[in-house]
Amino acid sequence: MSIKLIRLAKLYASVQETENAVEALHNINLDINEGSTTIFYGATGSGKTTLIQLVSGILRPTYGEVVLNSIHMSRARDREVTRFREEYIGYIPQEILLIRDLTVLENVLSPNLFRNETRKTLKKKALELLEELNLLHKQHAKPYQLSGGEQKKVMIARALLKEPGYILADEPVSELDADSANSVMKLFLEYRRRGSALVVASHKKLLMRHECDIYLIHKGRIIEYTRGGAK
Amino acid sequence: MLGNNFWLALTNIRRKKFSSILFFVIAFFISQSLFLISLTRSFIRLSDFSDIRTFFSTIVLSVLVLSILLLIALTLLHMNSRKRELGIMRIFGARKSEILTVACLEVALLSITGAAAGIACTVLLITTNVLYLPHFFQGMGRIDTVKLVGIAGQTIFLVALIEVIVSMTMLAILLYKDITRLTRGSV
Repeated sequence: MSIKLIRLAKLYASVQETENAVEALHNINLDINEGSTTIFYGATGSGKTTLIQLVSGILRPTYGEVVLNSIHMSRARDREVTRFREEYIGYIPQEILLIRDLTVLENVLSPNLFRNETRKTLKKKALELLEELNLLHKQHAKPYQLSGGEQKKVMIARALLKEPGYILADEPVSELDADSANSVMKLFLEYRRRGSALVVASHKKLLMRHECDIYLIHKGRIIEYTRGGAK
Repeated sequence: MLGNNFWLALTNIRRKKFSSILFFVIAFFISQSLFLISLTRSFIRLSDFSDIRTFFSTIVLSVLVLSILLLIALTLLHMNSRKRELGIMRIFGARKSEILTVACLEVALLSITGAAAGIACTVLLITTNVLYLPHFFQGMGRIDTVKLVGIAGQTIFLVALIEVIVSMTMLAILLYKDITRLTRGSV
């Protein structure tokens, strides 16, 4: 069986909103295996983003276990969690998080430069990714010169550059047109074929044609689990 | 990898032009005053011109103190404006130590070049007599170049140390905040 595994057990999380903490997730239990697809499906405000951030180790749970590759998040030191994130996780946030005064190419490269690879090989890979996402002609543009969808695609390229074991995508295609969405999906599936696990939070039904685990989330609880896809 | 860190540092210097120039200029002034202090200490006989020395040192010292205060203010602003990108780097798996290394390289590069320029400028001013130091020339007979270069090196090192320590402290304080808070931009 797979060695890399994310396990969430009896997970509760609350999010500080202005003064009082709001319970964002309530008793979540699930496993994410290598090479699988997991979809968190639900309306906005149901806790999908919090769940993704917990899985990526950006947030820490209030109660319960998040186990990333045998690292227990509730007990682990920050260094180990960061290491795990650097090694395995390609996170695509929901809001646009790009560095304003770097070009597209530099934005894709810069967070990946701390890994043990030379800039040359990384750059080559980055250009290939941008080509697949149809952004090659904009590699020297600044983020604010791009449209919202293009900015999203830059973030996707940035996350995929390190060939992550887990791709955590928070609403990856909600701002994209049909063509771009299809090319992104193709890319995701290509990475899954190579062994990455896909974790997608979405309120759209795009990936559900393929083999996947679908968790319907409502107000911080998993209210339904289905296996999608005939394949 | 060191090469990548170096590239990142240079990119950051290039795109944060305003703060980079300020870091450079502050290093320039701090190094000038430190260099003058060390010079007068080493080359003017204490017994001879003590009143002039005190007057001179007061001015130089006040410039030094002002520069350091300015440095602290600048780092506060500079690091605050970079909060968001620190968050982004952290989200994508940059460790605190790695971020500190890059920032350290940046500041070190700027302060070393700034300090070197400052010392070069001071030497130029003294030799062309714009900065009129008659007593300095009275002691000139005993100046050996090795000692002068030693003082210059010491000054550059000190300036770099001051700038790196101040900016690293500010950055370390920022880095201990929550990642999600960093990216949201609310302190």
